[in-house]
Amino acid sequence: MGQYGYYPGCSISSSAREYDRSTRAVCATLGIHLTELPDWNCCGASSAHSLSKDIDLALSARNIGIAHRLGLDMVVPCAACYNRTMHAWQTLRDDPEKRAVLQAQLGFDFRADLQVYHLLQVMEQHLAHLKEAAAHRLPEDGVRGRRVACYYGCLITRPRGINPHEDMEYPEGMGRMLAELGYQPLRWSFATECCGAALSLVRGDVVRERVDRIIAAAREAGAEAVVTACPLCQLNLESRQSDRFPVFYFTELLGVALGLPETEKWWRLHLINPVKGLPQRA
Amino acid sequence: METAFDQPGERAAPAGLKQLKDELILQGKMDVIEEGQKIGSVLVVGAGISGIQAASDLADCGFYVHLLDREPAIGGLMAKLDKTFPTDECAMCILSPKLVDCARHLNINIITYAEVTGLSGTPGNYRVTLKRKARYVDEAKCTGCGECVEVCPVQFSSEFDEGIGPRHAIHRLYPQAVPNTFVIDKRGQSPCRAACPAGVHAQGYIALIRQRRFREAAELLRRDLPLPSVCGRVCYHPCEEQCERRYVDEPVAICDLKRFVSDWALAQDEAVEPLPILHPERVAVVGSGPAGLACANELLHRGYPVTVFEAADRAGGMLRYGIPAYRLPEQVLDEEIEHLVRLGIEVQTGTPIKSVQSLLENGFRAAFVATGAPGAMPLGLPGEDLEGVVDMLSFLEAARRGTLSELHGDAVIIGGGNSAMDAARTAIRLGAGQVKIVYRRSRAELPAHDWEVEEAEREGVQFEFLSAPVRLEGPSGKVERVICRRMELGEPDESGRRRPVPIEGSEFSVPATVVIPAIGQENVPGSLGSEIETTARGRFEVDPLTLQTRVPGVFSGGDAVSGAAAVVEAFAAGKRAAESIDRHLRGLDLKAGRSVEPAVAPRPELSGVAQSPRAVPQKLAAPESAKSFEEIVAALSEEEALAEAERCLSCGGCSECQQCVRQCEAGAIRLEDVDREDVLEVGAIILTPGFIPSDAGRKGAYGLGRYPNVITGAQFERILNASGPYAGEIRRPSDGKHPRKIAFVQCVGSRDVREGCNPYCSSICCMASIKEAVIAREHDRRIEPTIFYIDMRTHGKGFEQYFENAKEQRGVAFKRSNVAKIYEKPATGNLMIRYADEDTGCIIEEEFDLVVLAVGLVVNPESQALLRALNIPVGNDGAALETLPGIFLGGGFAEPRDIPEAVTEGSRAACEASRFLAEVRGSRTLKKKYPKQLDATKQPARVGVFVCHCGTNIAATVNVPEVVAHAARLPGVVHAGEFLYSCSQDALEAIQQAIRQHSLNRVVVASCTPRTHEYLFADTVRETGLNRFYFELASIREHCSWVHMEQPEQATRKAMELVAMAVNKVRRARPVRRKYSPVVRQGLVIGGGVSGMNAALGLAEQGFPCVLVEKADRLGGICLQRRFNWCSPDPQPYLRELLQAIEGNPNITTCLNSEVAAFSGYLGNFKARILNRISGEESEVECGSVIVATGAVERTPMEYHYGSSERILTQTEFEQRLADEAPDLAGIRNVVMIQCVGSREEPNLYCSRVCCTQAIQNALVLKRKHPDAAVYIFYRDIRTYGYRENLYREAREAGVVFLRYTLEDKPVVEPGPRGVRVRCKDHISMREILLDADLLVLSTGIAPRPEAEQLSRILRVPLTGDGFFLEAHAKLRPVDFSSEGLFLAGLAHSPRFLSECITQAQAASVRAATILSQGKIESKAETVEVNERLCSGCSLCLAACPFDARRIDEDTGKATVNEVLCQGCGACAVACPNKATGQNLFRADQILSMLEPSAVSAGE
Repeated sequence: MGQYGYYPGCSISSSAREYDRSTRAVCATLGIHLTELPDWNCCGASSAHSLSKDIDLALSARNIGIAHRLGLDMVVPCAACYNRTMHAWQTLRDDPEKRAVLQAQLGFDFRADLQVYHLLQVMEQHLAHLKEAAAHRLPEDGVRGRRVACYYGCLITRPRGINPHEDMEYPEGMGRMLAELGYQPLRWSFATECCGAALSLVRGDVVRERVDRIIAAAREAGAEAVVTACPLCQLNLESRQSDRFPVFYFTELLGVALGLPETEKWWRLHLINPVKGLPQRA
Repeated sequence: METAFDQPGERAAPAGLKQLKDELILQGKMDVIEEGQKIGSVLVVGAGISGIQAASDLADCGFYVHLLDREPAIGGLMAKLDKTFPTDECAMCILSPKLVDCARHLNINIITYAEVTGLSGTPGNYRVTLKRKARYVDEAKCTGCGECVEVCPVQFSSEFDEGIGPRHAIHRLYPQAVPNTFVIDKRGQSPCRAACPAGVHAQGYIALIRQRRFREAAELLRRDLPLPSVCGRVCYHPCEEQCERRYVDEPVAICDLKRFVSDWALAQDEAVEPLPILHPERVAVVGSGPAGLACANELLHRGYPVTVFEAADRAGGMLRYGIPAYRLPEQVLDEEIEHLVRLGIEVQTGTPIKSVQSLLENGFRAAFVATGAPGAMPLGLPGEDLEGVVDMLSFLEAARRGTLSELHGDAVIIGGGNSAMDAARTAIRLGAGQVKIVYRRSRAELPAHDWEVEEAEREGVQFEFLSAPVRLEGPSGKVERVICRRMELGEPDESGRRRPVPIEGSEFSVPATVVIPAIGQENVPGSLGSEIETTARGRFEVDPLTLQTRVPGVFSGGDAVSGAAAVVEAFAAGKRAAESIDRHLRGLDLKAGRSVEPAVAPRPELSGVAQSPRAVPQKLAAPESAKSFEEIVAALSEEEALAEAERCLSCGGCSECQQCVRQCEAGAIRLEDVDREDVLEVGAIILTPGFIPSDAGRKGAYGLGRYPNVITGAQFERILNASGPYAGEIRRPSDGKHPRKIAFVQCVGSRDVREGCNPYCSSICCMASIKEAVIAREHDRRIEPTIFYIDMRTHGKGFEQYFENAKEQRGVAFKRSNVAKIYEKPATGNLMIRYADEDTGCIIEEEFDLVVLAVGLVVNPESQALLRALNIPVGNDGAALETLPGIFLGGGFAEPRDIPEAVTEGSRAACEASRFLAEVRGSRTLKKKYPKQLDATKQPARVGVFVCHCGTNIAATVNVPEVVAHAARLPGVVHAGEFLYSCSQDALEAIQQAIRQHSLNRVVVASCTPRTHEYLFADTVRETGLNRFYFELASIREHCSWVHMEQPEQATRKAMELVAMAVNKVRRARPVRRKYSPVVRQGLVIGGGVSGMNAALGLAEQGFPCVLVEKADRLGGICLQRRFNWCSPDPQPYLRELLQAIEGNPNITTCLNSEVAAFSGYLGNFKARILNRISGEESEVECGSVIVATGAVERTPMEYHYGSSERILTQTEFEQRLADEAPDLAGIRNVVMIQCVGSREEPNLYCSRVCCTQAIQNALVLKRKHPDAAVYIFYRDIRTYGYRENLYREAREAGVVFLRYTLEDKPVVEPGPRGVRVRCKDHISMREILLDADLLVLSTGIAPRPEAEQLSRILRVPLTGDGFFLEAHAKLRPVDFSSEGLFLAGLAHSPRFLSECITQAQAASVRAATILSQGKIESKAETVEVNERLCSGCSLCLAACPFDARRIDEDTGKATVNEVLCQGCGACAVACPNKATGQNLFRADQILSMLEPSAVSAGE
C-alpha cells in the first residue's frame, strides 16, 4: 500500500511515543511500509531558523537528502518538523542557487517528484483502505464514535503555502477522515488557534491561559475529546490545562477504528489517560 | 389626435399585447435581409438594471430590442435588494415600473430563461442562436396566479433569497417578476424513478407524503401502478439501490413508503368514480397477472374500455398463487383488484382465451397477451415422476388455495432463486420436519435476494451449497431421498458466474418426503402459440421496444415474453404495451421517441445533509414468523412514514407529481417541455452580464458557510426585504431570534491578494452596509449595528452625508479595524469578533448576535460562456480583449459599480449601438394601429362589468357570482360577467365581443391590480374603438381578497363597493385625447469640456445635428490641465483625437466664447439665446433637447498656508510640474501630500472622489522618476475604489508612506526657508512626528462652477446643496433632469474621473436621442384643465407647479396649462382656491360619485 521514508523527529522518540507507536501500528495494519530514515537529524524547529537560516535549511535538507537516497516520499508526523522540512523542500524546489549550494554541501540530487507529506495527508490518501479495514473490525470500544474537536494548531497549515493540501484558515482533512470512520467531529472555532507552545518555557502563564481557553471551547462545543496531529500541541494541551480533558493523537483514533489490540498501551503513555477522561456512555 | 386607422377590411385588431407582439415579431422575422444591410434591431444580453436601461433607451430611439436573460425573470441583482442608498428608497418600488414598462413596450421583446449559444453573420447583420431552456410552463397561458405553488410538494432553498428560506419546485423568481410567469425547476429524472422499470414517480409520492397529502400520493401511485399496495410488499425495489441518500447514510425506504400510503388509501374505503371512457376502441387483455393489470390500468386511464380475460377462477395470476400469503395477504390483492374493477376495468374470470384472432374479430381493436410463465421447468433427472415430487408453482398454489395445509417429513427444494426461498419457507410453515435447499453454487452466487435468504435461514431453512441432485430415489414409488453430488466452482460461464463442476465420487444422500424443484418457469403458449410466433424456449416473440407481435394489433409482455421475472418488471411491460396500443389505435408511429433515455438528475448537494436513520418497519421475528402464514412485515406508522419521507433529497427537482397540472386552471403546465433553439437576427449586440455577490471568504476565519449566524450582505438584504424569507422581520438564521447586536464586516475577500479573493475594491459595499445598518434600525430600534471597516469609501454623490448622518443621527457605530477572527459560541450561536481597537491598539473581543459580511461583487462568471458563444477573445484575467463591430460590452464587464453607474453604463452601451445602427433607425420598430375612435361623449353610459376569479385568488374569498349580480343591478350597468382569468387571451376577446354585442361604451374590470394589468385592459378596450379612459380597474385582489382572507363576507361586500365606485367613476369619465407637438430634431450641448464634446459627438454620430456652446475660447475644459490618468485614456492625446472628431463632424456647430443667456420652450421645442461674450452678438438656437455639461473647477485651498510659498502646491499644479519635468524636482527628497483639504468637512461635506487616486498616481510618477524621493500621504480614508485599489497597493509596494489623520488632529504646516515642516500624530505609534518636506501638495478636491447657479436659473433646473446640478432621480435617472428634455453629464453632475465623464456624456446623448428620434411628442394623458370662468388669475398655481407648466395668459389674465410639460401631478388643483383647476382623470364629480357607494355602506 505504499512506502514512505519516515522521519520521526525528536518528540516522537520522547514525549510522543504513543504517537509513534500508534502511527506505526496503523500503518502496519494498512500495509503502509514506513522506513525510518537512517541517521536522521534534528529539524531545527525550536531555534535554528531564528538563529541561522543556513543552518535551518541545511538541517532539514540533509533529512530530505536521506529520503532521496532511499528514493522515497517522506512522511513527517510532527507539525513543527513538517513545517521546517517543507520549508526546506520548497526552497530546494524554488531557489536554484540555494539548491546548488545545499546539494553540494550534502551530496544529493534534489528531485521535485519526491514529496514531503504530513502524516495526516498520507492517512487521508489511504482513507478508502482505512474505511475498508475498519469495517471488518467491529468490537465495541469506549472511544469509538466519540464527539471530537479536531485541533490543528498553527504549524500544519501556516504560513500560507506551506501546506498545499489544506485550507490555511479552515483545514478539514482530519475531520473528514474521522467522520468517515464513525467519529463525530464538531464545528468549533478553535481548530487553528495558537496553543502558545513556543512560549511554554518563558511565559507559562500565557500558555496556560491559551490552553485553558482551547480546552474550554472544546467542552463548550460539546466535544468529549480533542484530537491533535502534532506532538507539541498534544503535550502542551495535556500538560498546561487546569482541566483533565482527553487529548488524543488522531492516529490513536484510527487505531481504535481499526480495532487494534494494543490501544491500551498507548493510553498509559499519556500524561492524562484520555480514556479515563471520557464521559461515561449512557 | 390619435393616429386614425379606419380602413375597412383590415385585419381585426388583435386582442391583447402578448399575441400582438408575437405576431409582429413573426412578421419581422420574415423580412428579407439583404447581405450587408444593417438590421435595425438590437439584442441586449443580461436584463439587470443596466440591460433594462439599454433596452428601453434603444427601443425609445427607434430600434427593436430583444432583451434576454438567463433567469426566468428580468431585474437582475437590483431586484434582490431591499432599499437603495443614499435615498433609502425601496429597490423594487423603483425598479418595478421599469420592468413593467419593458414588458409592455411594443419594441422590446423579453426573452427569459435563455442563453446565447452562437453567433454568425456580419457586423450589423448578425444571426444569434439561443437556447431557450424548458420552462415547463407555457408563458402564453400562465397568468401568474400562483395557485400551482400552493400544491407543489417539493421545496428547495431559494437562490433568490440567497439560500435563506425555501422556494417550491414550481416558482417565480420574485413576487413582482416580469414576465409574471412561473417556471419549474426540473433537474432531470430522479435516480429512483430512472431505476424503476415501471417508471414510478417515487420522488413525487414521497414529496406528497411529506406534506401529509396521502390521498394525492396514493392517486399518483395508482396512476403509475395498478396494484401499489401489492407492489409495496413484493417489489425488490431497485429504486433504493440508486437512492442518492445512500451517500449520506442509507437509502430512503421508498418501498415501505409506497406500501404505507397505498395501504392508507385502501383503508379509506371511499366511493370510487369510474374513469371516463374517451375512446370507442375496446382493448382485450389476456391474463390478469401484474402485466395484464398494468396494461389495463394504463389504458383505462387513457380513456380506453378494457376487458381482462383470466383463465383461472380468480384474477391476479402469479400474484395470487405464486406468492406466499406471509408476503402478500390475499385480502390486499382482492381489494386492489376490486378498486380497478370499480375504476372501470372489466374482468372476466374462468375465461381462457384460445385465439387472439377471435378477440379481434369480436370487436376488440387490440389485444395484450400476458399469460405469464406458468410452466415449471423439469429437472430432467431419474425419479422425477415419483410421488412426492411437486413443482414449486403447484406447491405454492396448493398452499395458497389451502388444498395443502400440512406437510409431514422432510422437504428438499432444488434451486436458489426467490421462488425456492418461498417454497422453503412455505414448507416450514406447513410443518415440514427438515427443510433443505440444494444449490449448485456457493452462497455468494445465490440469485435470491440477501434478505430472503437471511429470513429463510432464521426460520430454520438449511442449505446444501455446492451440491447438485443426480437422481431421486424412492423404491416404494414415493420419493424418499435425493442423491446429490458435491460441486466445485470452475471457470465463469456466460452469465459471469463461476460454473459448478461436479466432484467425482462425492455423492451423498439427502432424505426427502417432498421434493420441490424450483429451477425456473416458462411460458406455455398453448393454442395461442399457433397464432403468435414463439422463440425456441416457447416465449412469445415481440419487438423489444414496442412489445408488438407479428400479429397486427396484438402485443405481448410480462413473463410470457421474458420468462419469470420480478413483479415490477411485469408492471413495466404492461405499461409499455399500453403505450404501444394507444399509439397503434391512434395511428401513430409506435417507436418514435421511445428509445431516448431521459437524463438523470445530477447528484444533489450532500454536504450539510444531516444523517438520520432509515425507518425500519415492524416485523414478526423468526421463529414466531415461521409458525403461520401471517404477514411478516407491517406497514410503517404514520409518524414513521412522515419522518422517512423527510429523508428524501428531492434529487430530480420537480417530482413530476402532477399536482400543478391538476391545479392549473389555465392549463399552462407542460411537463413534457424541452429546451429549444431559436435564432435572432440583429444589427448589434449589447452584453450586460452584471455582477453577482462574490463567494470569496466562503471559508476561512470568518466562518461563512459554517456558522449559521454569519451571513453575507446579499443575504441580509433578503432578510430585510418584505418579500424575503422572514417577511421583512429581522431574524437570524440559526434560531429565528431577533438579533440585537449586528456586526458588519467590510472588505471580506475584497482588497485581498490571496487566491480566490478579489484584489480590487467592490466600491459599493461601504454604502451598502451603512444602508443595511440604518434600515435594520428602522425595522427594529433595539438593533445596535457596528460596522468594522478599513477605509470608509463613501465617494458617491450624497454618500458622505449619508455616512455622517448614519454615524451622528441614526445610531450606527463605526469601528476602523480589520477583523482578525470570528468565534462562534456553541451554546447560543452568538459570535465573538476579535479586533484591534483603533484608539488604544488593544485586542478586544466583542459578542454579536449576527454578523453580516460585505463580500463584494464579481463579474457574473457565466459571462465567460457568453463571450465564448460570441467568439469574443478573452484575456488571462477573464476580461474581453476586443469585440466585433456592433458588439458592445456594458455593465459588468467593467469594474464593480452601483446602480446609477450601471444605469449610465447601460445608456452608454445603447449610445454606441444607436451610433452603429444610426442609418437603420426606425426600420424595425413596430407601431400599433387602432381603429378610429367612436365618439361616446353624447351617449348615455352603458357600462360592462367583468369580475375576475383570478383562479382562486379572488374567488376563494370573494363570492364572485354575488359581486356580478350586484354589479348587474348598478345604475348604468347593462352587462356583467365573470372570468376565471380576465387577462387570458380568450377572456380579452370575450370582453371585446361583449362590448360589440351589448354596445358597451364604458368598461370596468374587477381584478388583480392596475399596476400590471390596467394597461392591458385599457388597450383591449381601445382596440374596439373606445377611448382608453372609458375603462376603470377595481382592485379586488390586492385591495380586497388578499388582505381580507379571513373575512369572506365582508370582503365580498367590499368588492361590491369597489366595483360600484369604479362604475360610478367610469360613468362620468370623459375621453382623453392626447396632444402632440412636433420635435425640433437638433440638440444643444452646453459646455465644451470632455463631457460636452462627447455628448455632442454622441448626438452627431447618432445622426442628429447639435450646437455645442463653450464659454472659453477653446474646447477641452478642465481636461486641458490633466496630464496623467490612472487608466486609459491618456488625457492629452485623447483630447486631440476628440477635437479632430468634433471638427470633422458636419452635424456639430461649435460656438466658442459663448453662453446661454436665455432659455424657453418645452420638451421637443426649446429655444435658447446664445450670447457671444466677445462680440456681444446673440443668436437663437431651436432644439429638441439639451445636455448640460458645464464642468467644475479645482478648488483653490485656503488652508495650510497655500499661496505663501512656492513649495506648497495643489495636486493639479504638482501634476503639471511632474509632467513638464520641472527642473526643481531634480533633487527632491521629501514630498508630503495632504488629502481632503477643505473636503469632507463643513462647509464642503462631500468627497471629491478623484483626489486619492490622483495623489497616488502622482506619487507613483514621482517615485518612478526619482526613486529616492520619499512620499508621505496624509489621508483620512483612502478611496481608491474599484480597480484603483491596485494603484494603492502598487504605491505601498513602491514605498509611499501613508499616514492617517483625523479631523480633530489635522497636520500642522509651518513653512520655513528650506522647506515646509509638517507635524502630525502617527496613528500607529500614537506619537507626534515631524516631516520636513521639499514640497507640500494639497489635494483640494473639485468645486462646482460658480456660474452654475445662474445657468440653473436660466434653465430652471435645480442644484444640490453642494452646488452641483441635481439629477431627476439619484438611482434610475442619473443623467436626466426632472424637467423633461434636459440632461446632464460630467463634473457639472458631481466629481468623477475622466472615463466616468465620458460614459455619462454618451449616456446623456442617447437619452437626448430618445426625444430627438421622435417626430412628435405625445402629452401625458393625465393633465389638468382650467375652467376659465372660475379662474381669477391669482397665480397660486404657478408657484405650485413643479414642472413649470403653467402661465398666466397675458391677454385673458387666466391661468393656462402647457400640456406637454404638465405631468398631471395635481399640485395646482390643490392650490387653486376657486376650484378652477381640475385633473382630467380625477374630476371632483367623479371622486364624489365614488364616495357614494362607500357612504351608503358606512351609513348602514
